[in-house]
Amino acid sequence: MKQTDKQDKIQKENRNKLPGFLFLVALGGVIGACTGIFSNWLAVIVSPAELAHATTQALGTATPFLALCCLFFLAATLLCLHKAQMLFDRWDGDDEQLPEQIEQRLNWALLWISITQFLVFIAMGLCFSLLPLDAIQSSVALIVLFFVIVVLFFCIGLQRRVVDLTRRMNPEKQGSVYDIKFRKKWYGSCDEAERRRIGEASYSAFILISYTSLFLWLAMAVLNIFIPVGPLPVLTALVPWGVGQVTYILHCIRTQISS
Amino acid sequence: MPLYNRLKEYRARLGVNQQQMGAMAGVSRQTISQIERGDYSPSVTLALKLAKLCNVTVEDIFIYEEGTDHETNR
Repeated sequence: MKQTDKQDKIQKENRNKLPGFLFLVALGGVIGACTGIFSNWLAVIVSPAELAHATTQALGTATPFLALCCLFFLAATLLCLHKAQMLFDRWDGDDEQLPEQIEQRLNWALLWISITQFLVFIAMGLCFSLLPLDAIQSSVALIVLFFVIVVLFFCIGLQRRVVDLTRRMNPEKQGSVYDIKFRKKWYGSCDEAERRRIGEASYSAFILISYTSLFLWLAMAVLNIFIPVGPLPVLTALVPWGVGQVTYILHCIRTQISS
Repeated sequence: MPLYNRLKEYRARLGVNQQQMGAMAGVSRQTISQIERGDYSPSVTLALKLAKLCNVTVEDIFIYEEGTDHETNR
């Protein structure tokens, strides 16, 4: 294909997709404008200060229950681990189906552990931010914080069990959960197929985090019209997006140079 | 990708399980399982390693056929 033909093909595709893109931009602008106008109208009807106060009080009440919710996911983790251990004890090394079932349950266990950690970090963050606003009692906050620390240590123990069982099934795997260089060692012991899976999963996570960060940035910016949350939440929402983008592109540049 | 493979058959001839095959080839049991199911196409290096372990050529284990939508094993 000649260079002019390639250029024509690229330009034709751009021309075809441009109207749809412009439509989405216009639609986003209309939605944004409506949201801004609605927020301003709502700020006249409902006092922002009262709404902010009511919201912080509600969050202060909900924080201990949010922390307790993680118990459900911990229970799910223990169930998955127990089942995985039972299957592993039955495995004779030759059966080809059992390892798949064991690994599936270990993956689910890791997911439940991650959700547990997510919930307790939210609870911890709420305690730190609501305490100065008197939206949560100090005694309740202390109990929640103590509970969070216990749960986090428990999660590390559960992750160790998952990793140890994985290593017993796959002796080539390296790394202890307690090792600071665990991720590096574990990745170093992964073969080509495992690294490809990690790459695909990481790319999906990267795309989702990018969209989520931008959405949060927009939500915080709009919320500021209604309740003055300040610049910190707005800027913080952009950090994962910025770090992700720069890291991804720098890595691409580095791998291209080394190859 | 239109790639068939007969790895399971050759592994059975060797008399090793997936874990042992993986250890010999320097990959995980899961990778051997994925290759046998047709869920993963090995790199050239790994394909050559597997062929050498089975004492056959790469073409004996992996068969490329046009006009099919997915990998599988025969």
